[in-house]
Amino acid sequence: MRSNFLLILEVTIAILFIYLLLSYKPNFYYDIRGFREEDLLSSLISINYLYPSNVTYLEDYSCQIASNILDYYKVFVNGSLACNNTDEDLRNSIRTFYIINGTPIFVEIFLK
Amino acid sequence: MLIKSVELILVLTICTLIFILSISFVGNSYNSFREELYLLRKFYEGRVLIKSLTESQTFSNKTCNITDNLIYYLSDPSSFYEYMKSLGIRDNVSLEVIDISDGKLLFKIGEKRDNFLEFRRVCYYNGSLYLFSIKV
Repeated sequence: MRSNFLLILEVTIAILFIYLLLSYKPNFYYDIRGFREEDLLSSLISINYLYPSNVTYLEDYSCQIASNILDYYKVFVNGSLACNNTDEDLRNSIRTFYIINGTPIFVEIFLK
Repeated sequence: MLIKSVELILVLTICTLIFILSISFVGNSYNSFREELYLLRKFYEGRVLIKSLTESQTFSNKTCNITDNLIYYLSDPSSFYEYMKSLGIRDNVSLEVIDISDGKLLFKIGEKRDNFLEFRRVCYYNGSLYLFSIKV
């Protein structure tokens, strides 16, 4: 009787151990998000060297940069859509501004 | 006596199974860890390379700034590989510099690989914008 009890106990412990062993999934957490934003921001600064004289030039440069760096983007200049390659609802965005003829022009780029 | 021997065989079988499972589990964990580590190393090598190439000028932290020195480096692939070695980058890296106004390829170093991570930046140099694309 005692031996049967021990056997059941051993089997139960073994099943529990195997279950724990199989259900454990090692995870290696690391955060590499944000590098696209960093690259985009460092690239957008380059527009300042080109001294865009009006909003159309600014739109062109912003769209050129966004299309070359990002896979999915929407570019808004002063709140109006300048260019996009997707109709999806993109949540992440980068907002910056340029001063053209003394007026700040806001550029907002949504990215995936 | 029969029950005892059956019990012994059962315990031995279970112990062997657990042992085999443990070994395969440790092996799988080690392999996935190595894979993750390889990806992570590739990622950081790419980041270090693109940041050190485009932010080499003084006071250009997080700003894309191209120097004449860099263009000189890129014109000679061997000096570029020396530069990569000095940064401790061991993997094959391909670098492309493209003038985005006309799509002209300025420099191309290294070959494109199948599984790669790509880092792109657009930088101003000498009156126009250039796309720096690094594939690691």
